[in-house]
Amino acid sequence: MDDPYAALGVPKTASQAEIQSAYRTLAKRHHPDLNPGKPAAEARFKEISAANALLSNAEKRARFDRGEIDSAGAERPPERRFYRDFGDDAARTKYRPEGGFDASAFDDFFSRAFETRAAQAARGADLHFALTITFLEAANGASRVLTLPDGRKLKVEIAAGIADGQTLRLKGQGVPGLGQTPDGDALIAISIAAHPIFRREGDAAFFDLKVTLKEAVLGAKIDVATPKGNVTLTVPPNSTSGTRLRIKGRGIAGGDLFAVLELVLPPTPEPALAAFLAGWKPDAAFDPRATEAKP
Amino acid sequence: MNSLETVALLFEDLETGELAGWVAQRWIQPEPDADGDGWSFRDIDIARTRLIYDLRHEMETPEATMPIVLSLLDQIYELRRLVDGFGAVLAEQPTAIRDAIQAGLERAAH
Repeated sequence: MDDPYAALGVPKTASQAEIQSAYRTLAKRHHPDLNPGKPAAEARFKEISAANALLSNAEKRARFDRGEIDSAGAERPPERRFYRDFGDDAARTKYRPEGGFDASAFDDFFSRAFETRAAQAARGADLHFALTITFLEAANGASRVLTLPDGRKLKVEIAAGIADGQTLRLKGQGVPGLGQTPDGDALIAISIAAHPIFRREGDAAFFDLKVTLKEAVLGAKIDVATPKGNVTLTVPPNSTSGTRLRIKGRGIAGGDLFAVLELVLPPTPEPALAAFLAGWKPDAAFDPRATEAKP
Repeated sequence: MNSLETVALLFEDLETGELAGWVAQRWIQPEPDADGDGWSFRDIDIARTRLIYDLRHEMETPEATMPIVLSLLDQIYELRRLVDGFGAVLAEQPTAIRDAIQAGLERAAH
């Protein structure tokens, strides 16, 4: 008996009750004493009994299911077929990676071997790098040293006004060409990190400048930091929130810088101010919402 | 025929629910059985189940990492198959070419 389940004619998932019932049915049919004229019945009956003995013992049954013992109850080393034993099948059939590798995979691996003479005559490959620079480096220009994977150091000159996403090409700094062919280039993709204060639109730069009510009404001179050093900015009298004040040539690469005013009221109540406004009659009455589009 | 339940029995602590989850995620791809409402595991599927069981239960590979592990494994097997194919083509080449390639491979290995 190799398979006690087959001997009893039950599935591997059969319950104890099903096994018992199958055993009883078969035992009745094959009992040697009930089949005196059939010599084979004895062997069959022994088989059924052994199968029942194994399967009705939950522990033995589980060990058999796991392949730890054979149907006679003898220990046997777990026979395991490893996945790699199916290695070739594995790749050839359903467990192939999505789409597999097509024939060009060989070309990828052995590109150097299969290159035509024409390809060998081509120049060296370009190398691609990415470099993130600060807002101020982009605004004012800078010089950065890039260390390549092969240890070479490459000096990268960044011109003032460079745009986010722009790519710099350094001639001849890529993979050396074969023989007499020219060297490849190094291509450096530039990204510009955001600045906590300045925003950029083309060559113009913007920043928010908070002013008090008094500064907005009476005007003021305020020291502000620009990408190119500090300047004193004159806020004209009667400047409202949102007003853009131009600071010439302090933006990106000769572009202008704009201070966008933001009116900030005192954080705590000001009784004197409130009392003044309560009694205040404007010279010219106006409705700030008059020109707004109506919904 | 090896059903999902039968295969789960091969392991001491593998619930059919977990095994069904592996099938649902297509980590294992048994064929639909004759009735069409269960699965029929071939030997290769069982071997793959054992591998996944080892990864999850013995090596405690996180579930979220499994697709990456299996994808890389499948790629390795595919690559091995391709290299095998390449070897078969090499075997058909004249001795001089094979010797030159062998010498080149030995150089490349060092």
